[in-house]
Amino acid sequence: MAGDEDQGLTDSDARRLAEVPTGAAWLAGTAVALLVLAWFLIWLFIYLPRGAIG
Amino acid sequence: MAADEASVRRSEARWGMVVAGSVALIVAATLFAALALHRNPPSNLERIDPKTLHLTGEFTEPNLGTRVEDGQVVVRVVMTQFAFVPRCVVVPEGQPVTLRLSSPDVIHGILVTGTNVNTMVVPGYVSQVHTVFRTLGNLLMPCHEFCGLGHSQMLARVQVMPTEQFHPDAQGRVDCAAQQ
Repeated sequence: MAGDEDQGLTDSDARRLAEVPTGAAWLAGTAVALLVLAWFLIWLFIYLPRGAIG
Repeated sequence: MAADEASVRRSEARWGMVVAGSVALIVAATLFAALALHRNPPSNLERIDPKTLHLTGEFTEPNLGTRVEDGQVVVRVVMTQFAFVPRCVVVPEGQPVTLRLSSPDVIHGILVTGTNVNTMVVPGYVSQVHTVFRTLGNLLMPCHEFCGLGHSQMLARVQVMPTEQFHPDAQGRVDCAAQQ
């Protein structure tokens, strides 16, 4: 038997898996980009204008 | 068809570079703020005896609160389980203010809402923060370091006054009651 069948994968699963690197990269990239953007917005518009305290 | 091993490895390597780049960007911004703009955490290292904090020296009761000393506004506060002494301090808007804090008992911490003021207050040391208050009104100053069962009741107020209404008395003192 073929390897895919040994793992119980259907043709549909195999098609989704084939898109994993691109799809996962897009999802993770968007999430991380939003987090980094939020960090920079807080840094630029809240942290820096509040001034030094040291 | 599932992705082959080589393409998965390539995509993981690319993702590693994205993450490393993001971290490098944030570290670079932090270093720029620290080195070029001097935005550092408070780093005053000054010892004081916590056993005699309220009996002798700078943090005795008559010295607490806001004072103008040689034109410099200095606020001294003792943080103790579970109160600020005094519970309200007055500061002028738009002028440099030095906050000096100490504790006779356990570790406390302060922040002032809407500002970058944020420091630990450790028994045996004087914590010092320099800032300029730019928002008029009453700002909340809670203890932000769990210090015991009454921690959640440990609050104080910073009253930011317009400079023209900030009037020190003959000893250079300004307190909340006198401003109301």
